[in-house]
Amino acid sequence: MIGPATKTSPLATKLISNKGPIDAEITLKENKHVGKMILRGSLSEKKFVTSTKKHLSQQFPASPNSFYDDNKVRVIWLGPDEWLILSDAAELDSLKDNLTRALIKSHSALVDVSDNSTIVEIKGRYSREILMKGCSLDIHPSVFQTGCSAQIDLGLANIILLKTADEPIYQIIVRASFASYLWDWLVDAAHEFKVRIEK
Amino acid sequence: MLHIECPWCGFRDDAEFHYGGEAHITRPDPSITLTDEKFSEYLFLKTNTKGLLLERWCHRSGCRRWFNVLRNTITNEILEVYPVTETPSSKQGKETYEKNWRRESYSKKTPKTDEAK
Amino acid sequence: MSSQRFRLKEAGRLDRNAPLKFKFDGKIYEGFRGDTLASALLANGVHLVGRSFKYHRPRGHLGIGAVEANALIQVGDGNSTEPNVRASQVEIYDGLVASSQNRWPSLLFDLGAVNDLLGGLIPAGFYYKTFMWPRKWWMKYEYFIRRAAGLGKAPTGRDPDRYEKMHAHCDILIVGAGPAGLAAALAASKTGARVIIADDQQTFGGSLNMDTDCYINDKTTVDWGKDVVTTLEGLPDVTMLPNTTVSGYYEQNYLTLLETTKPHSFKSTIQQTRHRLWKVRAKQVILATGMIERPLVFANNDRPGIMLSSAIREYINKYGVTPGQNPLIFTNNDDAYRTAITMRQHNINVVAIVDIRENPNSELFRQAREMKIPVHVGSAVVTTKGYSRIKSATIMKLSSDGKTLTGGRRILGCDCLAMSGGWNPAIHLFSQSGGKVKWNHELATFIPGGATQNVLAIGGCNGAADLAKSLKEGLKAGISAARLSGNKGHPPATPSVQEPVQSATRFVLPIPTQKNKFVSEKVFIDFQNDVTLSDIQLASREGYNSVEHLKRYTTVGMGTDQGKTSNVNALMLLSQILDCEPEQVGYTTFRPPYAPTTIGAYAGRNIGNLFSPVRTTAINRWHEEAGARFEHVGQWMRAWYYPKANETMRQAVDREVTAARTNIGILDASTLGKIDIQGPDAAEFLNRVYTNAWLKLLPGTSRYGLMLKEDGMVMDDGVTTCIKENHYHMTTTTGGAASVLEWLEEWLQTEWPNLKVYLTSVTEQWAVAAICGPKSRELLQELCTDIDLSDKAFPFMGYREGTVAGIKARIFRISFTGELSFEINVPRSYGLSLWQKLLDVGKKYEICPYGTEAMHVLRAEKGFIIVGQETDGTVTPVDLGMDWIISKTKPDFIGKRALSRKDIIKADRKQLVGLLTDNATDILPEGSQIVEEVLPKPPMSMIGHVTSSYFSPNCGRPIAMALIKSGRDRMGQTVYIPLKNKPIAATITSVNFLDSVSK
Repeated sequence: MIGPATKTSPLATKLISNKGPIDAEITLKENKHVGKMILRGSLSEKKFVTSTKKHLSQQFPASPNSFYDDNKVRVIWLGPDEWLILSDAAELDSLKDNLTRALIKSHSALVDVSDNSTIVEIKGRYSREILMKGCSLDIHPSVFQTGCSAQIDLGLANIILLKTADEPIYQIIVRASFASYLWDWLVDAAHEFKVRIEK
Repeated sequence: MLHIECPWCGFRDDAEFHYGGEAHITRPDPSITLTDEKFSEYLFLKTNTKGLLLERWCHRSGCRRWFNVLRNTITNEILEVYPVTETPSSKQGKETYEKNWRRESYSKKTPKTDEAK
Repeated sequence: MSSQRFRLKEAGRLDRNAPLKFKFDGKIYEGFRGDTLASALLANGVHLVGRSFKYHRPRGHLGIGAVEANALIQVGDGNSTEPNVRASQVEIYDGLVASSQNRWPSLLFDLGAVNDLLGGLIPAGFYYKTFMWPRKWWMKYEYFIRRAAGLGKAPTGRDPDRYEKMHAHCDILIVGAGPAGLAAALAASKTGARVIIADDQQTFGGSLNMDTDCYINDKTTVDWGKDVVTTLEGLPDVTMLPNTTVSGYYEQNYLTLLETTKPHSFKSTIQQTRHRLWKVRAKQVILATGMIERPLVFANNDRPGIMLSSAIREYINKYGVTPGQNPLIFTNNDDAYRTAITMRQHNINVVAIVDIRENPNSELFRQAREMKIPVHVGSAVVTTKGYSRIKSATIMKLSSDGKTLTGGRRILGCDCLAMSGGWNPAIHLFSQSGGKVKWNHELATFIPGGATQNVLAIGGCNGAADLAKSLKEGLKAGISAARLSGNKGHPPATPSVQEPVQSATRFVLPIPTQKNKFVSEKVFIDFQNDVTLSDIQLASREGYNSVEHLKRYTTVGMGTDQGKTSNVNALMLLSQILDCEPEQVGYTTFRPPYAPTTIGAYAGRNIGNLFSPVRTTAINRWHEEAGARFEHVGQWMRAWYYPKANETMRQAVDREVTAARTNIGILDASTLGKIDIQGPDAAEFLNRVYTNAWLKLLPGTSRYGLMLKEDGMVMDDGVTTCIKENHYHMTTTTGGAASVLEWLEEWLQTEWPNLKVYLTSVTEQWAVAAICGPKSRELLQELCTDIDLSDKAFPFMGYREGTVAGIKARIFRISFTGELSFEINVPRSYGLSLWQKLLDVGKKYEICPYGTEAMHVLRAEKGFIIVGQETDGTVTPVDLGMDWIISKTKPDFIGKRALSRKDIIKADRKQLVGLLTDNATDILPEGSQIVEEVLPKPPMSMIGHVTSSYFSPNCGRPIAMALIKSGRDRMGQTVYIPLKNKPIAATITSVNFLDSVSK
């Protein structure tokens, strides 16, 4: 008999168990299996905006290079007509269906990209220094504040970088096939610090 | 490393961008019969500008949007950034746009040697 | 062990409680923590540290910091060794190993020194003039010339050290932490500006550490500097980078900095970073790079022990070491008097001051006289003696025009000579920034002129010779740069400064040489490249009067030194020869890096497994566990073949290929590019980017398409499926995924912005298992019960959505092998699970995983092309024999017009054909050239090349594809592939081998 299907995250082989000291200066972990979808549409089309506000979030849209959290979703600006929506994986399908129905008359697109990428979280006092080793963006806290996002290269991988709190915590959305490289890059960049890896 | 101002994402290093060559090159209307010579002008001939050039860039690592730039190829100074579907609005941009033979026929601007005689 | 004979009892900013041992040329010496290799060697009286580049003359320390032109040293041993390092820039640590360069067999007895005796025979351009005959021997000559003129040796093994990179942004980058730089940092930091201040010395302060005869706000210069450093250290937004050379200044205030991190002195379990390359984007840049002292130009001015006067003062005041006990001072200005006075204050016997000026009349002059230092005015050193170190100098009176020597000779014994020929602002970075330089008559040097970027040159870099002016300019620049970068604040009060007043300089260039000599003595202009006065004169006589020509012909200003001490002297000489103003001679371009930068720093951590991202699929772990061999496809790592125990590659591939045609093969096809296309104009868009017709593709069906570039050449191919109305799923080649998406976006955004289409990359959203072979339907049926898989209900090129092994899946009935085949797409996180279930259930059908090599063979058996293998950007669909895919009726598609250009429709273009070797065991190497007729030796006229070649188990023989001129008109003809050992004969056939050969 066939057993039930199981999910495997892109970094499953890197994250077998917790590793490293509790008082670490850097902590790395994967936020796996977060629901994600791309929303496309034109802000100049009134119907698109009102429907999205109603069925996704009243705060829609996010302004360029930023994201916001609302109503159990996270909306990340990717382009003038493009947003990445994060939600609980279990709720993504119904969210997508509702929006699809609401936007049926708009020129818009919704694409499930839950598995296209994964999320790595880096936190700890030297997080910014590590990112500075491979990212040409100015991420000084006075410039790249909580709620800021950027699509940028880190090392040799393209990522979406989010500043999720005032403390030195960043989330990195990276394409699934680059996740392993990016993970190795981060661990290497953190070599002079005390690093903890959380499963 | 040039610092290019993406109209959406702000200033970023040029390594994040894809260069798209000269801007405002008109693609020949497919419904019009075109001689091989005219078509080859569109396809192969590029100006090699020393000075101000209108050119296309795409923010590949960022928002993936194309946009146009007025750049001085000698100093690498970028004087204007404007939407890909529009024409430049700065004085120097307008002048460069007006001077650009690419929007006309190359053969009109530089008559063949036998015609010139 | 040698004692530190030349170490002063006091003075210097060293940790005298931390003695360190190091080795130079095999001998052990002692120094203190805080010493550089140069200061520690000088403390031990070691002046001879190298041999010159061309003449192999003994050379010693000339300057300090980055200004050292002579003392290039090999540092470290094993694969960590670094050649051509300035001894003045190496911080010593316990156990440091260093050695001299460019000498054999030893530094004191160097056979290459014969070049010095033959000096008159090897003038500028000698090598080019002499070794050009016979022409083809140049390569042999060059080998020996390069060996003789070598610098240090590069390590041969892998570099064991770690190199890092750092990106940084700031409001203000300050280059140089001398008085001007520190003042600027102080003023700027008070406004809250984000400041980075870098200095190539390990201790901040620059000339503050040297000019101990000055006072700022009644504090010593050293204390004032320390106070400022302490203030800056307490500020979170001030980054201080000692031991950091700003090496390059690029567009839009982008600068590169090379930081040498702490030496390997403290043992640690983590690998130490050796260099860190900073890439800084600054809103404003302040250049406080100071001045470089100019050597005097006289005969034998290059002996060990002859040094720049300010360097000597710095060695005394910063390192507590004197380069000699009996120094002679030779100067054309007041500053060298400060060196003499400093030395005298340390009870060093200053032999005399030889001053070119006839009537020096300044406070410093009087002070020197009061201290009973003999001063010879209107005089010059005309030559020197001493081999491994200067022993004496000959002085004579100068005529009033400075062009001849008068009076008698006088020989003064000395063990060190301090020379000072004036000062040049260190304008290298300013020039790199695109700024113009201008000639300043008073200083007789170039100073910064108009800037083209947001940069300010201040202090010595701006020609300011005195401390008060430097501090004032620093404070002013700091505040103005802070304001320009959006900060607010007021400048701190200007400090009161006590410093000696200096009088004018007299420039005599060159010092005349004595005439009564049989052998002319060498007068050095460029110490590092061994360029002499006569080289400059010769170059000019031969017509090299442009400064750029002069540089290339004589090599003046080249090498790692980049003319720091030589350029201005060379230019002044050239202008004298040409009888014009130096600014008419002009200036050569300064090129980055300012000082040599290790290649390791440029590579950073992009080495080993981080050299390039390795992209893997969701099923990768299974491939690894199954013992697959992998191949790189772009950045992807794909399973190539799966050898069983003792199988060769050929045996494994044959087995996999056979299984796919007899039972079931399974391939991980996840790497194919996938693009989600939505919108009311999606079909129209596809119709324009593909060559064939797309308007009538029904939901649930797929079509193969070719994309061309506008020049008609094949760019990519793939299958695109209509998921539902206005919604398509496009596949691209593995390597083309990113570029195709960019290409499509370019057309949408720039050429057809009116088309309503949205594109989204979903390459990694889907894991793809392709099952192929006659039993694949039976297998799929077992795992998928909600789709009718019968040929009638789900025909070839069909598409269905359903559930496979409990996972929601998209199934495409498409084939790249010619067999019955299903490509099953599931969300990536389920990929591994799906794969394992297909294999478990497939066991009874003898399912066989196959890799990319078998995939290549399977498609070649059917004559299917691979873009990038059969095509190379010069191949049209017509060349490929794929005319059937070009719509004749569509008004437009990308590349349409190009296909009717007369060059594209020529009959003799290379066309894709099959090749069967006459001998059925020969497998042609891919890429081989093809000829009609084999000649005894090349050249032979080539008519094409082999694009793909394999052994085909299903055909039972090798098969190959080739692009051959007019290939389709040559069916059945024999052509030859001239390989090294023997030519191979082959017959031109159709490319569908499976149908033509096996039938």
